[in-house]
Amino acid sequence: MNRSCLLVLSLTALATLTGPSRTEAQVRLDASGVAKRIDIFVEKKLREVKVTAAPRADDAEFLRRVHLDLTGRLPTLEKAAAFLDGKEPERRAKLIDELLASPEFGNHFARYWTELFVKRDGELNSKMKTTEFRAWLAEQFNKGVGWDQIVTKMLTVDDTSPAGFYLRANRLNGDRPSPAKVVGTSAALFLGTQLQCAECHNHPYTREWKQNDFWGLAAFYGRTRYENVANSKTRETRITEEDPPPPDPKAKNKKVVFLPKGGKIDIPDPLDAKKVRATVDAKLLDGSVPKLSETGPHRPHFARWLTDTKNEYFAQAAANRLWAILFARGLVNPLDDLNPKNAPSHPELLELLAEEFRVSGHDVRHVLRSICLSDTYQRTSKRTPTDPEDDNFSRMKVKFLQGEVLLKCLDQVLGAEPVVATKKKRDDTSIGTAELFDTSVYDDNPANYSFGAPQMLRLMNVDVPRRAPAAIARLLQTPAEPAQCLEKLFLQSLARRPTADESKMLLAHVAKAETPARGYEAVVWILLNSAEFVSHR
Amino acid sequence: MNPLRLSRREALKLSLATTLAGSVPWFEPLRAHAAQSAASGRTPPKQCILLWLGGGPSQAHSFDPKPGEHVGLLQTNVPGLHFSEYLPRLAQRMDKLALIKTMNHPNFGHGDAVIWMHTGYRNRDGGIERPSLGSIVTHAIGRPDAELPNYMVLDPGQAEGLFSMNGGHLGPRYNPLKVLPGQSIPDQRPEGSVTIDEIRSRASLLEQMNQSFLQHNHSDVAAGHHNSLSQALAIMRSSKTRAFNLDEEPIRVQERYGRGRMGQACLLARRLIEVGVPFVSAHLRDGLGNGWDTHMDTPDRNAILFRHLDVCFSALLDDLQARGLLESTLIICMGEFGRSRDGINHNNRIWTAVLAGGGLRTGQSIGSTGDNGLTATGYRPVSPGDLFATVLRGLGIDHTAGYTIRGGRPVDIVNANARVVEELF
Repeated sequence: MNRSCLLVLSLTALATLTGPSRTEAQVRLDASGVAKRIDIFVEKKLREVKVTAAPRADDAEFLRRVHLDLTGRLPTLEKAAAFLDGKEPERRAKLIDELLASPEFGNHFARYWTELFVKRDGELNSKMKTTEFRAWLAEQFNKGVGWDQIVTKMLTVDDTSPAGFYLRANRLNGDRPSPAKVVGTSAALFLGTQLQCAECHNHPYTREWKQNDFWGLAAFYGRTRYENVANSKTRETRITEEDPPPPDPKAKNKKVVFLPKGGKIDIPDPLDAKKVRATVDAKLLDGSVPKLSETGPHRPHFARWLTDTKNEYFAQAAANRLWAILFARGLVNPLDDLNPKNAPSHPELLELLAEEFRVSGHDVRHVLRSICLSDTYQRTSKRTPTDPEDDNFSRMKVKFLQGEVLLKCLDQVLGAEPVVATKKKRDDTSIGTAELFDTSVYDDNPANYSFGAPQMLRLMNVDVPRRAPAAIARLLQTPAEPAQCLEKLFLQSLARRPTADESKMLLAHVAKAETPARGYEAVVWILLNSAEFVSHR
Repeated sequence: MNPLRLSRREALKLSLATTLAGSVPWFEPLRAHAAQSAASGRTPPKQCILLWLGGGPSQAHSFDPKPGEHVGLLQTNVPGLHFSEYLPRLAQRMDKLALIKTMNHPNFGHGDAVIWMHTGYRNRDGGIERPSLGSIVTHAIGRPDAELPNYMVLDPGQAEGLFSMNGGHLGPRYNPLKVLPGQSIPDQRPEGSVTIDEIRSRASLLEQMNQSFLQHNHSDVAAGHHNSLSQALAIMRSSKTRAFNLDEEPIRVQERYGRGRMGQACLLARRLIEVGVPFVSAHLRDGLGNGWDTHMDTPDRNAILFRHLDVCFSALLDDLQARGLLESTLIICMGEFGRSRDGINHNNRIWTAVLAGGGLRTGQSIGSTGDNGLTATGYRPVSPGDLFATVLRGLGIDHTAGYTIRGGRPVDIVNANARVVEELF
């Protein structure tokens, strides 16, 4: 009866909110209002648990934090100096807008999502080429395309578009996406629900999700396959639901592919892939059965249901994830386990963010802008050993610079390393720096530093010593006093100026060095290997 | 409770104490610490060696032969148990081994099977990347301030199990250091014209900067970074890296292990155990780098591979025992599955894993495989999770504790259904 109503809870209330999207100007205007409401909900909880909020972060802390959060890059020397010397009262809000409008914003969030898609099956996907997909996804974010539309395109692509990466990353092996993987991944990443448990058995926690419900969704992908593009030199494939052309009578290997008609799928036995447990018809989780044509396309029905504003999990999952990206912790944890028994720490706040997301036309930037404008986001992460640990957002949590972000930040300070096109010999099993620092396949906590001695050794002994001389030569091209050189290096790497103690200590080291260049190389080595450099605080 | 956090915080205290000791080299307090615990008569810490026979070794040609099949049988020094003629030395050391003859998991292909046997779980079970055995063990008992990486893989090869040897959800901090044949820890020495002394003086300034940062920025990130930095500096200064210099061993010892690739990996494993590395995974292969996926070229390849294994595994057992380390060092010898009785095809349904040392009750076989070699007899099928639970128990690690991973999800160390092979304790 009531078996699949979970995804349509309390919908009457929401229906009134889903009017036409506001204009961008209205949304921008509203962001500061949303920020105030965020603070009200967070402070309410802090009063309940009797925790005092930490003070506001100073400009330098905010500057580096917001750059890394919104673009995955450090501020340039000039930008950092200008911001720190600025007097304009609105300069934080201006900076947030500026970063959200920069192309790096889209690149950064495209990287985040690409990594999530790859690591759903790292073993299978890690060798996939991601460049084109990332560029496409970055463009979507930068153009302000709604998240619902982006997801729809990935789920329904029927050409050679780079958006097809998503379905290709959910293949089992061979020539078609796996319907079960597509549904399991989409539910986890786009709805924040663990529907995948129902792939093999009825869901253990959410009794309403039966195995048939899972496969009813999978049936929308029963006809989806790759097809070689005729005359393509690059062996390009397109994604399609059409029947394949009849096999070439001259071909030796006449493999005939039969696609199910009208949205049906076999449920395989999880212990023996050759056995079929049952065959089910395409059916949405709200129980509705759309009228399907014999030969598709069937996927748009799935995508429409998934991204519909009536499906409240869609906006909640995205809002919760955006929050977690900034605060290293979601309002609901795990991020992909939204369910009635797993209550959010701040229910009103989650509803606020989800609602804003919906009403703004699933605008990622609106939600990020609102959060970044809040006092909650702008609190310091500084903490003495006596300050209590707190999971209610009384202070900012320190994250660490992960894989690619770390290497890009190093490039910013040291200058990008020229790409050397040397082919690895067959028996060369040595590990390159990018591979050594690759965090894309891990699920570890961003608030726990993840790298070990091998990575430290690589930076201390190889990458920084190798690349620092050229960077310092560039620095010294412009004649400057030692104190100014030191300041530049601090602004570039830590987005702040040195303290008096640091100046004294490091300038003394520079003065002792064989040559000034050698002295500054030591300074840059110290800064890049410091705890502060890897702290995204 | 998050065991990860606790251990890091404890670790931070320890490291800070070491740092504040001033000019004392990193390793001396540790050495003193080790000496102290030795003097107090405490049992040595548990360690683990995985002898990995990647590709799937044939049990019919080694630890579970049947009369009249393919190979001659040798009576071992435990009545009623026989090895193949390729394992004469190990047959004389069966009292130091425990066989589990009813290993079983559901995957027939190498890729998924490797993941089973490195992580104890099906590929992406629960939608997450699971840590490898070495990562689990070193997360639990590895020292964050050790002078050598806690988890090393010797001769890892290229293709097999790209991620399954890694830290999974524990993060890359728990990845193994991969050591290529004849090499040592990569990046131990500074490149270019920077000298060790220069690095040392830079490091002391870096320490000062980090100290003042840590005072006002107490966080798991800063603490974790501090630990990794300390370990990297410790490695650079450590005399323990000499363990990689196999030429320090007398020629006759090197020969006792066999001077091929397999023997050298076992000898290095022993030297790393001696200097206190808690988990060493030695991937054993022939001189050409080929493993145990012996399809049509069996039995000749099996003869070569197992005769090598017989030599180096025996030498390893003897040396660990002579040094008083066998009781505290648990050895696992296995691949991702076994083979059909003729050795030609894969067999994930019933195959043999070998354990040794670690204080286990050795000299016994857990279960047998009936007359046809294919029927689990006298014991239940043992799953990868069962084996992991058993090994962890042997290493004194609570396998029923859990982790908290990204997004606050609690996950098990081994599958909740896993049952320890109690007969080994």
